[in-house]
Amino acid sequence: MHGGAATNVQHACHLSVKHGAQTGCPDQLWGLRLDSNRSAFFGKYRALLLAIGVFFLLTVGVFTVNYVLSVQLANDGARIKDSGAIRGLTQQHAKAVLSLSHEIAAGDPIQTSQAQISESSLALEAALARSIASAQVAQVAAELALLAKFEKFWRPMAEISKSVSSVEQPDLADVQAALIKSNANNVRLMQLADDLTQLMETAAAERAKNLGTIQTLAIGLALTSFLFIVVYTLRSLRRSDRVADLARAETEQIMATVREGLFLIDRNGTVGSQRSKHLETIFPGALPPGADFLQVLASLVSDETLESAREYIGLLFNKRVKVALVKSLNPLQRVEITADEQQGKPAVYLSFDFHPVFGEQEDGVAAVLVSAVDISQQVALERELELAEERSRTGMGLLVSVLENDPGVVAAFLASAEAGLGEINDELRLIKPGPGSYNMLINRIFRIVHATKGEAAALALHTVTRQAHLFEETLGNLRKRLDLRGEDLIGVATGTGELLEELYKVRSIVDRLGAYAGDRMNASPVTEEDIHHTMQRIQKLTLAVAADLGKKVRVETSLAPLDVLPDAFRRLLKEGLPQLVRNAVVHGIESVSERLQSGKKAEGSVRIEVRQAGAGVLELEVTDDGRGIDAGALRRKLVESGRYQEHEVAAMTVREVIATIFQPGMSTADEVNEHAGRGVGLDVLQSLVRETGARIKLISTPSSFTRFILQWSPTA
Amino acid sequence: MTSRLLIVDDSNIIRNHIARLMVDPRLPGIEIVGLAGDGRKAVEMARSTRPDYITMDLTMPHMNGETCIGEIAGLLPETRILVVSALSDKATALRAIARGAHGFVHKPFSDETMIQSLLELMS
Repeated sequence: MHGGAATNVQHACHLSVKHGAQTGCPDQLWGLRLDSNRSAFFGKYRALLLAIGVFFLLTVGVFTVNYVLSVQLANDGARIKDSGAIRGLTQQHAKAVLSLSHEIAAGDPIQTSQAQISESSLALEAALARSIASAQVAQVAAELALLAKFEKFWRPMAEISKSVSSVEQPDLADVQAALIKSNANNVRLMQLADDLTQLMETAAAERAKNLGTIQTLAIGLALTSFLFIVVYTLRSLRRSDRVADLARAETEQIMATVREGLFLIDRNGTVGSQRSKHLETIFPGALPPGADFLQVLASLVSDETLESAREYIGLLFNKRVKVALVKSLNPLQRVEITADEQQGKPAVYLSFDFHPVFGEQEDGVAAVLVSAVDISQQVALERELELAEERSRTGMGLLVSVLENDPGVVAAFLASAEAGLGEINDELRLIKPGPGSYNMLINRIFRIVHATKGEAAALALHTVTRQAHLFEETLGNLRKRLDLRGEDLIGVATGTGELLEELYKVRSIVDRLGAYAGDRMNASPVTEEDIHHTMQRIQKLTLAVAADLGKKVRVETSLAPLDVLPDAFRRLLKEGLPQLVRNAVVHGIESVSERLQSGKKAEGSVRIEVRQAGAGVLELEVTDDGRGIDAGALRRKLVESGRYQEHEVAAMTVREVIATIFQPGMSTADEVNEHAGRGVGLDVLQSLVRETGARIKLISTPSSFTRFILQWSPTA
Repeated sequence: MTSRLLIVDDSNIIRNHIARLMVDPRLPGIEIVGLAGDGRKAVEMARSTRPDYITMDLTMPHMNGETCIGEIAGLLPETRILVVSALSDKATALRAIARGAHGFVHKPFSDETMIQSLLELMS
């Protein structure tokens, strides 16, 4: 039988594995059993055993018949011999009687004749008695009749013989009378003896012929049953071979198509000969039959995991352990394969499952079926899910951050950051080729992104902070290079787009929240809490921006009690104030060293005042004790930026010159200051003032202070 | 015939939780013969009550579960032991089972998991 047991194992195992995988309830399936099916053995070979039995019986029968007939034939021979002897003895007896009569008539001394008469007579009597006895046993009527006749003629002869042989010197007359009688009966006796012999010979010949027929028949039957056995055996061998081949083919098919790496290991971890084709795909180094599974594993997992795997496999072979109850301890449920040649490729994860296979007897686990599955995709999917969850968490976080911040602060931040990045986009499009101008642009972009990052961090908009940080790193690397080329700016454009994308997400939340709020009232009662909350946020922003710029700033507030807060003024507070404060810290307040050089205190001051100025008139004032606005420097800048001709600038009044700071793209600060040069904030403020119908006042003394006043009156 | 169960865990909450589950109709009649909060007490109680089954925590005061299992397995070879422990240290759990336990359930476990595991242990 070709590998029957092994074939069964794989079938059973495979089916169970499949089943287990589908139902997800492998408890009953953990124990696979080798199926030996002993009762089928007798069923399968019943016909063969029957044929062998028949063959055996026939052979025994033939031998028995043969033996009986041979004994009979031997018996026939002896009787024929007896019958022949009777004839001979009759003859001998007659001759002896004749010799005796001659000897006595001639007066010769009697020699052997008298003894011969006696001897032949005795021998004949004995042979006759034997023949009668055997004929009686054989119950042959014809024979018995002949023998009876023979005896009838012989009896008188026997008496004569007795009379002539019992005396020493018989009378001539007695001898002659005996001779006459002998001559008279002799022919008849001879005839009868011949008949008897012939009768026996015929019977024997008949018997011999029968024996031959029976033997031929028996040999024929025996040969037939032998042939049957041979044919039957061959046929069943072929049939079972076919079944085995079919089973093997099925196994091979299963092994070739199953999407699992299947193989058996024994107690020592040695890999068996049958394995699924998929195993080669999973194990690039392959697990050749006879290999040590744990040794192969050693190159793929940590020593600790390997040790656990060794112990775990040991437990599976332990009859005591309930396999279903240790499944969760499988240390190879998820194994990251880190093959050296796979550097750079995504990590491959394998999952090994172990199913004990029980032996034929209750002698415990014979082998363990290992099924290895590539779960890389599953792991990747899990990662993606985690990322998605993380993203939704950050989305939530973003919403919370936006809600926690003052809406105006966020709006101002978005406006300036978006404007700054929009400007970058424009400049990227318009830039003149050349490493010099590239470097200048990169520096400028870096400052904008850095400032955005600082403000986003202050507002706890972490997604923006993170993106800005990434972009900043890219820019930082570019800044160090002196050989920038056009293609290097591609990354800058991408980075700008990505940062804008994050800003857009914040913007969309702000917009949607705005849609909820609507413009339900023109004015709402104001609470102390309301204003204080705004001021707290402003203070936080101010300090964050200052810290980012390495400046020291103290914020002072003076808030007049207000009964109502008109919507327009509320907007000025929420959107305009952050802009003004930021402007004051970035552009107004000098660096610590600059301040100390100018004889000022190291700590700059930003003062915020909200007050009632007449009936319904409200004012917001922001004053910094910084460098003020230098009209002269501004004039130079106007010319340098190419916005105005030199003579045009010369013709402008100081007021006109200062008014240009509200133009888009204008900055009041030196290029030296890293966080300045954006020219965005006041432009936004200007729009806000226009929209709310407020007025803006600017008072400044160079090297001393700058004061912005936003005035709002209900009649305006 | 009722089965005799000893529950070993240093957490009172876990001990009571397992004990409460034993009234589940799917389980054969179970008599809780003892509750032990540390390894030493577990061995003493196992010796005196000779339980059929034990649920065993691994990290416990006085004597850890691993040692405890070794002692009880030597003392009562017929007693089946179910380790109930956190999955964080698979290696310890594997060693504990190698010392003489029969199965493992990881904490935290659901009621269903515990009942199914006990049924499997008793089969």
